[in-house]
Amino acid sequence: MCHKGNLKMMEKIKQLSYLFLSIVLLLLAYFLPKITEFILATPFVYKPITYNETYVAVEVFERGQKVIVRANVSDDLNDIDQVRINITDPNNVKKVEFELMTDTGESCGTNCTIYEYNYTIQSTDPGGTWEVWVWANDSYDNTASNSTTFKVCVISISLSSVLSNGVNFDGCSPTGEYCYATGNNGDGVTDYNITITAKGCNADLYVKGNQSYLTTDSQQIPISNIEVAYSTTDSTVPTTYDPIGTAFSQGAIGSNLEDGTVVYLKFRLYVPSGQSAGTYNAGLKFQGVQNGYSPVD
Amino acid sequence: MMKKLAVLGIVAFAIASILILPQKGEAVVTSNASTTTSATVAVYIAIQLSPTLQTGIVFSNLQQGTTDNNADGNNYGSGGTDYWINVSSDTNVNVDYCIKADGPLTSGSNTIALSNYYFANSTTTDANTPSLSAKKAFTTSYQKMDTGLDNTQNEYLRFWLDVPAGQAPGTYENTVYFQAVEAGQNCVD
Repeated sequence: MCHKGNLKMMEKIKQLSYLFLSIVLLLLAYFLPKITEFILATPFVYKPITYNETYVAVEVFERGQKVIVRANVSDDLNDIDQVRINITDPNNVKKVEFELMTDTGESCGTNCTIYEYNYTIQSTDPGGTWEVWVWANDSYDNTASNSTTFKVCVISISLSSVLSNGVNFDGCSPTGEYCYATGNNGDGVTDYNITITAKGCNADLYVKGNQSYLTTDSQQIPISNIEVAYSTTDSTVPTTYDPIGTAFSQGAIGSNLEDGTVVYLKFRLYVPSGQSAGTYNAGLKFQGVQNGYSPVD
Repeated sequence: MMKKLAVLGIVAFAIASILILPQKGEAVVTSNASTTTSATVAVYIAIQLSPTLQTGIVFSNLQQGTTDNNADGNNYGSGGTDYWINVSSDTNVNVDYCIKADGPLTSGSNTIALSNYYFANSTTTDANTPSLSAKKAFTTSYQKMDTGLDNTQNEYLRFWLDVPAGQAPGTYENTVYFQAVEAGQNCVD
């Protein structure tokens, strides 16, 4: 009696299992294509590339320049809904926040389209490394993203207070000898230095005279009689002097300088024998430029 | 045909070189700063004596009771004087020359007063210049001689000595000083 009851129970469980299995199979038959579609149709964003206005791929930009960000976005079903972009400056300020990128209509392969966004670097934008994020959504709300960076090169140079006050040669004898600038402090630590601020790039540093001669009334001393020695490591500055010219290209005093570098300087003046007594004046100009580029006179 | 191809090849290579080889562009990113520079060249005067003057002003074979005895280097009446002073070529201003003596010529306790000791000066020299007629007696303060001389000009000098009658024999000495000052400035005792 008990045995018969167990058999019936077993039969019921079996029937319910078949029913459950049938339902699962029906559900799978309905959802599997959609799951497959979901997996296969996820968009893909290739690493964005930054270009200048002439569409040359560039990683370092200057203030005022237009940055063109282009991203190749693919989707198996070719149903990209929208592509958006964030551009964040080195101070973590979002300069572009979740803006739509433009579909250029240009193909980058099967089911692949190029999207573009332009950003012009403002005169007050900071130098350093900027971050670009690109997101793509398809019509199923599948998303994908990728990122890149570009640099904005900003250089500034700062003269030490003594250098700002002038390079002065006092009490020079006209005996055909060198006269050393007062801020050199002899063989000691010089008071003349320039601090480099270089964000997003390294800098080269140049010096030149603002005119061909130091002058007093009708008398003059060639500006090339002023010589400069420089060092980034020795504040007492080695005694290798080079003449100063009237073009920056003649007066390189530091190259490939990183942000925060201090360039130490010393100056001397060759006073020709019998040079007339008097106070001779001129100006010195300094220029920091992006490493590898020519200075601008 | 081959020549044309070669020329075309060279031209193509030249154009490609210009386009492909890296050119150092002018920087867009620059930062500028400037400062002044000033050089003060000091007044520099270096006086020099002629070789004869460096050995001293010597009067040989003097006799008592004589006047206007020539110093040995005067060459008076026969040629230019061997005594002159000038400034070095790196002297960078025009100068005025000054002269003085430290006191009477002395030999032990005997002296010959400075009023007996004369000089004359000129920027040129010959047998008669500087001239005896232009002589001036030494003093112990600087007296100005020629003025506004540049570093190419010499100041020529002659010296005379009167020996009073009855002057005791001996070798009499004193020191004569020369000074060059910037033109227009006073001599500095």
